[in-house]
Amino acid sequence: MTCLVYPIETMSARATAGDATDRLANATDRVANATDRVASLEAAPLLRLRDLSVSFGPGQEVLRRVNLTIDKGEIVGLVGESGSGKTLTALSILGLLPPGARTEEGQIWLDGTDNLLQLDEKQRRQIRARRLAMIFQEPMSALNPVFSLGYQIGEVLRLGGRMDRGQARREARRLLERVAMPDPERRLRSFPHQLSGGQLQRAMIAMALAAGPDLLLADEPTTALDVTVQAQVLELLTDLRSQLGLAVLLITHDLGVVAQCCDRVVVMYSGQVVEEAPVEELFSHPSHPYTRALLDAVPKLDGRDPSFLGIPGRVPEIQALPSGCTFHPRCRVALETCSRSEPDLYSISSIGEAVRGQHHSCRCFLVEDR
Amino acid sequence: MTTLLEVRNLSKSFIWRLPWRQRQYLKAVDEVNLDVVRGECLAVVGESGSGKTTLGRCLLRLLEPDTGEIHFDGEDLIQLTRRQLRRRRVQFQMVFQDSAAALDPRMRIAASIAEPIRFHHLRPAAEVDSRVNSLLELVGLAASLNDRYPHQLSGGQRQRVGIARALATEPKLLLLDEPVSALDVSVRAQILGLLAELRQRLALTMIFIAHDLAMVEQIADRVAVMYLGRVVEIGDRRAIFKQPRHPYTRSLLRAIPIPDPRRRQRREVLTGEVPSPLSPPPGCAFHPRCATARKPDGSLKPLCSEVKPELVASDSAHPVACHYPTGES
Ligand SMILES: Nc1ncnc2c1ncn2[C@@H]1O[C@H](COP(=O)(O)OP(=O)(O)OP(=O)(O)O)[C@@H](O)[C@H]1O
Ligand SMILES: Nc1ncnc2c1ncn2[C@@H]1O[C@H](COP(=O)(O)OP(=O)(O)O)[C@@H](O)[C@H]1O
Ligand code: SF4
Ligand code: SF4
Ligand SMILES: [Mg+2]
Ligand SMILES: [Mg+2]
Repeated sequence: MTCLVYPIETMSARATAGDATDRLANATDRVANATDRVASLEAAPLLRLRDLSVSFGPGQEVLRRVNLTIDKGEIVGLVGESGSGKTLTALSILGLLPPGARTEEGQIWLDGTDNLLQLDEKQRRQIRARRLAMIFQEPMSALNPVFSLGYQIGEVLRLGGRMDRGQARREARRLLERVAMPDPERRLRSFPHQLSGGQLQRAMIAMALAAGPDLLLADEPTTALDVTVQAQVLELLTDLRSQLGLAVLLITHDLGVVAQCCDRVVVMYSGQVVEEAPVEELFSHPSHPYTRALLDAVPKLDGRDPSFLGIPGRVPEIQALPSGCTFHPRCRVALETCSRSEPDLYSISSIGEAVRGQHHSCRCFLVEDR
Repeated sequence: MTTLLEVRNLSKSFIWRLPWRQRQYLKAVDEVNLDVVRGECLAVVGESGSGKTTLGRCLLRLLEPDTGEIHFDGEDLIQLTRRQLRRRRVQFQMVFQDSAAALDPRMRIAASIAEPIRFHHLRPAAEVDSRVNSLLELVGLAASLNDRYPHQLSGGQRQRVGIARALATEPKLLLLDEPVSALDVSVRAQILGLLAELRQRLALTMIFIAHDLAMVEQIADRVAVMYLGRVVEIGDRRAIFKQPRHPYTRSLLRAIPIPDPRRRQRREVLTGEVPSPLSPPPGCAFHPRCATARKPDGSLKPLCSEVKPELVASDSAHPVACHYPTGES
């Protein structure tokens, strides 16, 4: 299989990275036309983030030119160590950035809308209410402790209009059944503190589904759960995708979870996308040294003797980002040039793969060694 | 190979006084028997609420058990007076899951680590600082961090401080309660690597509590699996991972997401959750969730729903508390 390498971002403005980049640049020219053809073949995705940058002030960029697409009915895994910008990416999509955070540039399109970043607050609120939903690691943060589940889910349903109390209650019950809540009739009358962790997570998903969203943003929804309950919740998410065609952005740092339920994976490091690939491709050909290190750190459960392959060091503080490739201080295979110039996000799929929508891209000077 | 810690028939109940009901007894630890061999790492694994933390706290007598014996280095801890216990305490230390809560937020790192050294008069005052520095180095922290406060550290760094503080008294036994559960995969691997290294260098004995088998695969020599206050299976790491005998252990293993998209199957997911320990099911507490407990027609096997299985070893296999374990006809 021949691999063609071309940068997705413009490289002209950047300092050249010596030989590697020159070779890449040549490859670019060769496939420029092909890229255009590929692009025109694709159907429009459900969500597209383009060059999204977010900062907390000068020199404090937390997201740097993030590109991300999610198709209808697709489960996309967003992985990376804590502090790599996963939560902020999801909050940007919702338009719920924390105080002090500012979107510096970029566009966000949701199927059929204009750039979300250009809408006013009222329009964004409508999109949040009707088309997007988010669930968190901590379900209590989304549920109100003083109202019953039936009431809370009913309220979301009635916000959408056209439903009286009786209808809302029946629909709420149906939603609890849909998320496989045990004993749904009684649960309608339960208050959040009466539920176990797994049940709370189900309740929150039921509420998230109430408005019939197109896209569910799930931020580490199973991290706080026992493995057995985690398995139940993940199964629920994949069922909802196949039954309702729901698209899911699944934020997690557990690559086992990704392997089991995602279609495509986006790896983030210090506010940037560093690798993106279909799930099988990512696990069979992990290309970024960071992705490889993350995979090495996953327990293999094969009963072999232990090896501790952590990644030395940790995600850099945003105020003190390393020069060049921000991963270079922790990278086992860093070249001299890595501390001086910044790699682009290069596509490393063959044209054939790209036509089939199997994009694989990687932000590393060494990609062509694959 | 000698035994460092011997636990016999240890039980601990909590009394729940609910306003509209009579007192209820919650049996958090139910007749536990364990031996911990010098120099080994024993993992204790089970879902939330299975009694791991309560067991751990009882072992160090941070909680008073109701009944049972705990022999540490040949001495029955239960018989010790408070004063004797305090002197003994330098020999066993605990590391907590939530290191942020375990460290005093107003105390600098150096002071936190020095506290047990001063409290137990382990070093002359003039040597405390250098001892703190060597402890920081031992756990892989830069000496320059010593005047930071806990909130100025990352989760992984805080966990290293917790370990340094526990090691300050040169204990024989280190009890770690979910020391890496709250950490990222990569930092988790770093801390596990550190613990493995410390174990070698300091000839430590470890009890490592976790809620996920995947977490202990790299560090444990032996694994004890708990369910509703009881040890249901205990054996060598390899045996537990390769030939688990208890249906619950098998479910726990199957629930771990395999990091390989080609091995994606709809795994039999264990239904339901751990029942309330206030009213544990009769017979084998696992029977409402156990597939093995069902006959082909769906009815329950009477042994399972009526008789509490004891933890027993067979000639050829490790101990398990189940009437129908695998690996036996
Ligand atoms: N101080 C207490 N008073 C009353 N009940 C308690 C107390 N501490 C623990 N329990 C109960 O004892 C049981 C065992 O609790 P324990 O904290 O030992 O579980 P665990 O296995 O450590 O769980 P986790 O994985 O959530 O830490 C639980 O049902 C818990 O609610
Ligand atoms: N409210 C905030 N104020 C200042 N910095 C923040 C805030 N929220 C997040 N950050 C910073 O932004 C970066 C990315 O954070 P986040 O998106 O939460 O990461 P992740 O979800 O991947 O763990 C981190 O460096 C974090 O410290
Ligand atoms: S660009 Fe260099 S430092 Fe960055 S990941 Fe690739 S090899 Fe490592
Ligand atoms: S004793 Fe019965 S119910 Fe309990 S684990 Fe064994 S087979 Fe299942
Ligand atoms: Mg986050
Ligand atoms: Mg606990």
